[in-house]
Amino acid sequence: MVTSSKDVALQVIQQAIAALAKWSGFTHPTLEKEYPEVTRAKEILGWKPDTNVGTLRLVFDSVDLPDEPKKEKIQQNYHPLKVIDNDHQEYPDIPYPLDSEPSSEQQKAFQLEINQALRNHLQDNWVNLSLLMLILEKFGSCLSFGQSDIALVDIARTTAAIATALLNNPAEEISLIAGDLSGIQKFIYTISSDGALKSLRARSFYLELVTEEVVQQLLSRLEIPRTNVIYAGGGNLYILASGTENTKKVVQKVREQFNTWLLDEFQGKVFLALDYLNFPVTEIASAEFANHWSNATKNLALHKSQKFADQINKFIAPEDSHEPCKVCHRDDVEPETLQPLNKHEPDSVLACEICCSMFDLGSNLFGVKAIVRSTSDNVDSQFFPLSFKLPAIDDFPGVNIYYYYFKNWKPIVPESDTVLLVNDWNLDHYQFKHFKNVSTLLLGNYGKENKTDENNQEEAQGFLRAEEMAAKAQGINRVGYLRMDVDRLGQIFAKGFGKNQTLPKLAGISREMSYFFKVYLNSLAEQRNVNIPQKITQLSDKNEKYNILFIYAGGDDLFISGAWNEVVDFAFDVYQCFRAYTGNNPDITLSGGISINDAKFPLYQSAESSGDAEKAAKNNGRDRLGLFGQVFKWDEWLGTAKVTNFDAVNKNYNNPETKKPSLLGILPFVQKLEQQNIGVNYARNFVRNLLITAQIQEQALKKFEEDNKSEEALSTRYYLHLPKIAYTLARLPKNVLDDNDFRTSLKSPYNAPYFRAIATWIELLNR
Amino acid sequence: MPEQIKPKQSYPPGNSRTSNPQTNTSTTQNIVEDIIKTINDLTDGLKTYPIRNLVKHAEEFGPYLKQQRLETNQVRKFLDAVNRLKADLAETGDFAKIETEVVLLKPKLAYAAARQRAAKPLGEVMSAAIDKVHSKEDFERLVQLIESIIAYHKAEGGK
Repeated sequence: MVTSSKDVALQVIQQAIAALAKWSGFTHPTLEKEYPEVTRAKEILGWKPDTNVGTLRLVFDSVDLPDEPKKEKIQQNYHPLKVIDNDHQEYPDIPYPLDSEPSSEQQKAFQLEINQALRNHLQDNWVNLSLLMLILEKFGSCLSFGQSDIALVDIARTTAAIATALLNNPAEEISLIAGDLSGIQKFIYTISSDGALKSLRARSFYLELVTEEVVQQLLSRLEIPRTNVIYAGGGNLYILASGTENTKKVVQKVREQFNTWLLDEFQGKVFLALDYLNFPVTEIASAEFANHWSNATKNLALHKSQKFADQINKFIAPEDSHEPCKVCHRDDVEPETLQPLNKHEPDSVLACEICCSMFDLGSNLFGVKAIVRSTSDNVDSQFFPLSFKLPAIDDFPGVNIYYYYFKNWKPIVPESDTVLLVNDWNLDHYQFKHFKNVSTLLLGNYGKENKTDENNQEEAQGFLRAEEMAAKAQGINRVGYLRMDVDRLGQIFAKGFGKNQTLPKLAGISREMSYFFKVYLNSLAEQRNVNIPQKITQLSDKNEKYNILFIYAGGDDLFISGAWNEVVDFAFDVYQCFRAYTGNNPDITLSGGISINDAKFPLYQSAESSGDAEKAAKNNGRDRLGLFGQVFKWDEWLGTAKVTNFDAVNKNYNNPETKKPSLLGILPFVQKLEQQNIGVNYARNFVRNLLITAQIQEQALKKFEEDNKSEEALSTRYYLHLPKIAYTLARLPKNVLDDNDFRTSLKSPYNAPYFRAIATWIELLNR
Repeated sequence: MPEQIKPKQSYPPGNSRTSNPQTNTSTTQNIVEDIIKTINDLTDGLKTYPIRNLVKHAEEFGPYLKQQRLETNQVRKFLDAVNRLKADLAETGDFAKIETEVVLLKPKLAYAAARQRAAKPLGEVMSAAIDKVHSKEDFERLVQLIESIIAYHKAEGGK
């Protein structure tokens, strides 16, 4: 009887379930005799027979980047005891951390809940690895095991991964396989056509599937179960395997296979960097592991700088060029294979096969619940599948893989190989007997549906189009594009935990990040008021679904589009929710950029300008938002800043300004003026004067570009324009002037830098 | 600056609507002396007049002028001349070309002050300031001073 890696993984997961059962007072089925690999793996991670389940402290609390002086003491936070569940809605609610340990009543209630779930599902499923994994994730992601800030699910998964990697591996070398799809930007953002939004979304989904397929190929070739995937998503993947010759060969072959296929399919726009790094297994639970993790990532950079080195002959071979595809501009396909992009339009542009399938996929992605991976090309499905035709390399046979997608969660596909259920946390769905391998696919896929066109019944129910977004916006009819990502995530992964940079910690933090960007962002957009933390600065108290569309959300970043004012609102919501979610750790912040464009503006240019706004935010010191061509810290936008740049300047004067204005920042003024309803004429005048002031100020500041810290520059920045502001204010209607707060605050030097942002915002809201 | 036409508002004298008077000296002759003293104490031309102080002074001086019933039409000749010089300087960038013209601003104010008592304080302050103008930077600071004073004066409801 040869031990298979699946048996080993299953055993670890069963033991973790047993620990959960023990905590909740449920009698679990008996455990088999322990494999030696499992014993060894548990020993490495410090999983002892007497280790017990307990409440979980927030993993983000331990993040401390050494080069930043600590600004404030982080309060200790705890995970609320809340099962991850859809609860008959599209997405689960966001579990914000608690500032004290869950009470014993809460623990008892949660134990009851677990008990109930185990009673209902463990009966015939003691060997159903997929289901056991999901149970662990649902309940075990808010409970600790051993160390107080390591979740049960992470310990279980990493133990399983190590145990399977130790199988038939006497040398105890472990291999960390790292992969990265580069060129995503090129592939996604260079298209131009009608329905670009839809196609974009389809493209980002497609890349998600490519990542998934790379994982699948590696797992099946290395014969390891899914527990070994530490992280996969957004074009990145990390997998643990044995550090053997076989692993080396598989990684190399899979890399070649995919790149040959990618080169053929996308003319070298997308490239898979895949490499591995071997190290002794004992280092997994030590700080040494962080270095391996960073080095594995650094190794990929080498591959990225030698793209398609294995396929170089093909890469530089001359090719005939033909009529280019109107969407992605490739010119290497035969002109007769170009098809009209939109089947429902009489004179639609001609596009290549990939672009056509992306366009169709974009129309059909709405409400996809299940994705089935199969090697058969004639599965009965309503939609055309996505196919990957991987070529044969040396002794590796070629494979054709098809991904079918379904709008119900229960597709019956006899030839199915793997089933992915999209954002589905319902345990019942995982014991469906037709499914062989089933796992959850987390996907940031929120989108508001459009109204179907009366005259065009043909077109499927789909997402909001850019024109519709613009029409729904308040004030000016424009579309907004938002990009955000986590600041210094690489550093957090490399040295955020200091000495405790171990595999379970990293697995935990990447899981929490994925939850936020792939799952909870959907929840926030879908149901705002149940998903915002208590202390939040609201831009609007509406509770409708956001009129936005996620083009991409996952890993640590997002790209969304929507009605411009809602995109702005959403950005502030996301920032505040993220900070609350990560326990307000000052080292974990977001930067973002928003661009506001006409609905007809080419999408790739919008993507670029929002990217530039985000870059500006990053370059100005992070934790900032770039919007209306201005960059400020989030709390300055929101008007919640405790300290601004002026404080430092103020200290140096002999007779400093004594009073902070009661309104400080940008949003408070915008809201005040919106409430006052000052009338179009006044608003116009006020905005114009404010803009003139801002312009004079900017011109005066031009002189100081070399030395913007001199006495002169600082006083120019904070004082020179104040007379003009006083004059501008005097021109406002009387009821606004009676508002003492407003008047004195706007005249305070503290608010000097914000005029352009305030004016632009009001202007756009009142167009 | 095009503006809206608004009904004339007149405030009783002494009704200063500034929100944060810096000192409690109800706007008196003090402010004029303050400014003149500050300017006379500058050793290296008007450009060393710190902007922050300049703005703070203007914040008091503008309302004071309003209180004295000064209206900009009374010093229009002077203001127009300043604007013209500003434009010339922007064009040529050569201070030497306008230096004499700057000195000739003083008689314009003297004339206005002779016709209207209200223009006298402004005339005194400006004379002191013009005496300190020896370079392009100095002149720029002078323009900033005048613009600040007039803006605060207008904010106070001055015409």
